[in-house]
Amino acid sequence: MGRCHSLAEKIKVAVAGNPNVGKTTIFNALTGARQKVGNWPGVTVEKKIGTKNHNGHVLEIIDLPGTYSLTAYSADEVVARDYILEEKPDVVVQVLDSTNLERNLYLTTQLLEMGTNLILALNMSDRAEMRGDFIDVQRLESLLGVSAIKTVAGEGKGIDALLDSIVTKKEQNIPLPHEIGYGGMVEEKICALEEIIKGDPEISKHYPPRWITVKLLEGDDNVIFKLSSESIKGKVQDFLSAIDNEEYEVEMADKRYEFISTLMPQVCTTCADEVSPSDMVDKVVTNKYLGIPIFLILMWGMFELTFAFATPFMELIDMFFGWLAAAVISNIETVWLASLLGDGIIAGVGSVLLFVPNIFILFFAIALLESSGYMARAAFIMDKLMYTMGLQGKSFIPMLMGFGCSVPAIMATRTLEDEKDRLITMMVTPFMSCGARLPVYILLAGTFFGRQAGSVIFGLYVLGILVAIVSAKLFRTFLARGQPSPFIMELPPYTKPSLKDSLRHMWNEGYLYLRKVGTVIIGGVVLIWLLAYFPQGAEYGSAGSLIGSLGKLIEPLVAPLGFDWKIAVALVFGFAAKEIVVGSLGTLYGTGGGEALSSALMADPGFTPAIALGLMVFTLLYVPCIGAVAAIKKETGSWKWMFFQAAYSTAVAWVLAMVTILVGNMVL
Amino acid sequence: MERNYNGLKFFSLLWGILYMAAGLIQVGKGVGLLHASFLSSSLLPAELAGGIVLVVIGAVFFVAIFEFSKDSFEGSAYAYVGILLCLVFGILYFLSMVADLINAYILAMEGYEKWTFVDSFKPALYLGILSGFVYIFWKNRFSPVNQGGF
Repeated sequence: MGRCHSLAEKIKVAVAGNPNVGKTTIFNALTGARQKVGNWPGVTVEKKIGTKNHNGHVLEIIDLPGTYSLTAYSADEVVARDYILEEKPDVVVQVLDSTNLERNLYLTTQLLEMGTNLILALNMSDRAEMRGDFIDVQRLESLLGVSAIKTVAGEGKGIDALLDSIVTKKEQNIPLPHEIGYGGMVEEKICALEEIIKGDPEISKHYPPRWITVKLLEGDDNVIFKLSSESIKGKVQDFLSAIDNEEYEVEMADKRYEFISTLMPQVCTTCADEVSPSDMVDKVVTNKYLGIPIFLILMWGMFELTFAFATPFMELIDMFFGWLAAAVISNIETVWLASLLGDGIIAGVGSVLLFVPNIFILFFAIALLESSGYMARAAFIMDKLMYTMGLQGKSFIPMLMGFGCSVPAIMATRTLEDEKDRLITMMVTPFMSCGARLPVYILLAGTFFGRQAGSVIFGLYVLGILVAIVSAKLFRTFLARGQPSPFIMELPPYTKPSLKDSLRHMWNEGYLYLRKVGTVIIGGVVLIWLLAYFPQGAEYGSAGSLIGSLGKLIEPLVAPLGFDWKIAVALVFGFAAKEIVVGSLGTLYGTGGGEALSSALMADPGFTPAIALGLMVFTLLYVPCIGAVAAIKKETGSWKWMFFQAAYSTAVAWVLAMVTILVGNMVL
Repeated sequence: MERNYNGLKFFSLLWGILYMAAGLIQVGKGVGLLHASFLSSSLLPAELAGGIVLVVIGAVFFVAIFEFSKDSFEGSAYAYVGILLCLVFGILYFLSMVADLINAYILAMEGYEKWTFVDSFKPALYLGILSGFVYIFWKNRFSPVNQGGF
């Protein structure tokens, strides 16, 4: 009976830790491929949940957002903290960077104060040992009253021991909150406020009263909403109004670091006063003059690889879909059905799936750079430039995420503490060229610029960054005046990129693209087919069809740029998902995707290299897709900002496309 | 422990010159300052972006030489990163060559009818291969156990 009970019961495990400590690598190692991605209820911060069967127990493992502390400075911190407080996981695994123990133990003190059932995963222990650090795990365990396991997540070392420890920890009683002594003056206030808090009958049932008290003294406004009694809330507010929160916050942070500095010599013998290869690389890649050129050539390399190495795979996919569409059309007698399947769905979807290799390679390259630790340096390198233009270096991280998809990138602005920084970053992030625009570039650059396509695509990505930075300066000057927050970010040590993790990241991102093909894009191409096929009697996709009428209606808006009605239609449908721009062109030219579409575009006298370049610039900059627009509405909570972003980006796109075409006509 | 840095200094100087010269020629050809037939047109192609990559790598080696004159750690750091960049771009051009090979001989793609190995044998590739040998030779000097050596 007991055995059956233990089999059915899930052990809830939260994985917490500072950013860049290998938390997600540990999560992946713990869960294998059995994970799903969603959003936290009520907010749009991404969460990953995975399950693992271990020794007859089912472990439900949740990856919390990376956070340095559990005080509500940013949305990520609130999410991590509230999960632990409200969901009460059976075990919290805190992943620590063993090469930076002192800094990471700050979060440990806060988790202990919350009374969590804590296990420390001392990750990157091989690096710490390599540089001569010795961490006395048993001493650490006895001093803190927690379990500690040395791990090397990338190689799977220590993962089984960690799983065993989770199961053992669950079977033990949950410990009492660990108390840090904050000294006479602070303790006096803690006692007085705790007495008031205890008057709230609900609060003591759910949260450790001392922890609530400490947070209130630190000025964490978010915590006061947890009080259920209005009268107690009033008393607490009166109490807090008489004290200077900042003074208490500093005092308590000092005491925590004092505790850590007492602990450190007892648990860690360090010899790490010598320079490491990581320091050597940092010396060069963060160099004042060479940092940005090195960043740019690495980015160029990434796009060159994306274009060049994907070409044979694209050719194979193109050949397959070409054959499939022809086979379907020739074997189905009902004309409209053959056209729907062949010209509509197969050609449309094929024209988008054609770019799967590029998407996969790009995300693989980004994952390699991220997992090596270089992307954090990119933010550091860009900080000075970003600050000059009204943003902080930390804003560059959501912007870099925008290379993948604008939607999570807009959500990632939650890591920015300053609301103005956050708003500006949200407004400019869609200028970063997302993966969905890549098919358009590859089609047009490949068709009109041949072997220089990689460089043209790289240029578009750089243009996106420049427009984002210049726009940020404008917004900072006219809309959200003030200075950006100073940039404080810990640079993680370089690590050998994990092939397994990079492949997993590549698959996760590529899968999102494939899923979009299966939903939005099929819907889009069927709608385009219907509009191109009807009314009866009109030539498919001609100016006389419904889509032709729609295109003619919109054409005047883009005609000054030299775009015809076909491009106008493609751009309108691109608002649903940018990939549909390619699918639309394939339908309207009656070719599907691939080489046939390239040939048709080249044969169209209205489609010059300058027009192609202008169209790429327009696609890069005009209103982001509907998902990104909705994300802006949700994150700003304002229709005004959403419409402003859409109008501003489209106006910028129009002007810069015009300039591109005028210059292009002169030089190309 | 005192180390002899003369080999690394000489290598940085030689590689700095090679990368910078190859890069400037490619840039010069790319923007039309040099005639396309200047030196070998296939081994030093007209490629603006690729040329800039070589110039940046060359600059890293030149800074290494400058830093060696002041501090051995800093000089070694620049030489080390320079070699890593040579390898990264060597691998990139190698993959690009493999893709061209498949396009030409397996898929017989349009535009690749006249492709030969030499078309893809660009400076970043052949200098990258040479850098690979250098890296293997000096690998231990850059490894963490020798970190104190810098």
